[in-house]
Amino acid sequence: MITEALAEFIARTRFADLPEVAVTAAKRLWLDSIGVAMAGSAEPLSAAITSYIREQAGPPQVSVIGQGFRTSPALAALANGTMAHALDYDDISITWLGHPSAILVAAVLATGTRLEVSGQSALTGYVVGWEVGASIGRSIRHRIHEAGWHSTSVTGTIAAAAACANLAGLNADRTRTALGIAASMTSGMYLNRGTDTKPVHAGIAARNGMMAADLAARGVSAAADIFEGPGNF
Amino acid sequence: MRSDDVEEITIHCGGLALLASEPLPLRRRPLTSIDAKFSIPFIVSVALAHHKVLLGDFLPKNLGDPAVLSLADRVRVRHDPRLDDGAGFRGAGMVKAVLEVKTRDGNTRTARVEYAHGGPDDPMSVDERRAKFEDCAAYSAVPIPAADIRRIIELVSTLEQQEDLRELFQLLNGRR
Repeated sequence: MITEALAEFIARTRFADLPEVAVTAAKRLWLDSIGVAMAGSAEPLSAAITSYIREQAGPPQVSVIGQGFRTSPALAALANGTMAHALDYDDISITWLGHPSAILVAAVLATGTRLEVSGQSALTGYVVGWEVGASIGRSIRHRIHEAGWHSTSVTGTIAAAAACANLAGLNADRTRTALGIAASMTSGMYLNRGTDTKPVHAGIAARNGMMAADLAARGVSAAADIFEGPGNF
Repeated sequence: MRSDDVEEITIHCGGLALLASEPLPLRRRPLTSIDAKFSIPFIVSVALAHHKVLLGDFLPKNLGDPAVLSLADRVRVRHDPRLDDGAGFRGAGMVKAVLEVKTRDGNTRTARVEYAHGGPDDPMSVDERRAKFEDCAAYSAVPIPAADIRRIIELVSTLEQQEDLRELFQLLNGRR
């Protein structure tokens, strides 16, 4: 039962479970991701996203990196994820087949700020999301690109949901549902690489993954066997 | 090595790396920042011309740097299946490469890369990571003061000791 095992891993992992090497790597990648988001904040794409989210007028809760204002967690995740990938200067994982930190840092910062979590919890959510993304990437490999989808965001939506479920302390059952909801929210066409839309994939994945965890927390239902049921992910 | 001494540069690489070298005329003269980042001829020429590669080298205004472009015209890229590492698309390689530089005096110098710099097998140093961060932060839409940049580095480096993310998040915003 893949979904059950993943959900249990996500729900039970705590800071004390993280190997030191993971914590060290996580902190390096956070700094890198924040830096590339700052650099990306000046891109025309970022001006467009910023203008869009200002129009949505979210409550000033979560910082938009390098833009001098705050907005709602969902809109901040959309903007921060997009900006961190805007220059394609962010980290990449060959196992994940994508760009993990743009998505995960954006999702963890937004959810983490809303829930007022500690640095240890934030790092734990990030590492859990990374592990889940890498597990999925390792099992789907490049079949996903041959099918026309972009793995950064398809895998990333589920990884972001895992990170946020861990941060929010969802139990294994609700986490399993969060995975089911997230799988239905995956998107991103590989054909859009090289265009502005590719970085937007990272923002969408961060926002959707967060939303999947938030809906699961409120009892929204989804398939409990999204990775092994008939017609599964 | 000086650019003027270079006769020809040949990059031997895995199959996936060909995506960043074909079509050759476009890769030698990238028209956009993203094309330049996905161009082996352009990046190798930046490294040879400037001895380092920075974000600014990919700004639209720097894509026409004559010192870089004259070298890019001397770059050739060859697929060597022995460099396919099984990691990339359909097993084609994207990291391993051999760089061969023929100089005008008739000598050839080669260098082999096994791992991408910055990856787990060849990590960036503390100073390199800090330099990349500071270089990036300088482009922020809302300027981030130098003291805030130092504080952000400190906060992230000690993240597991932070009670909450409040101060970090305040600083990331940039100040108006």
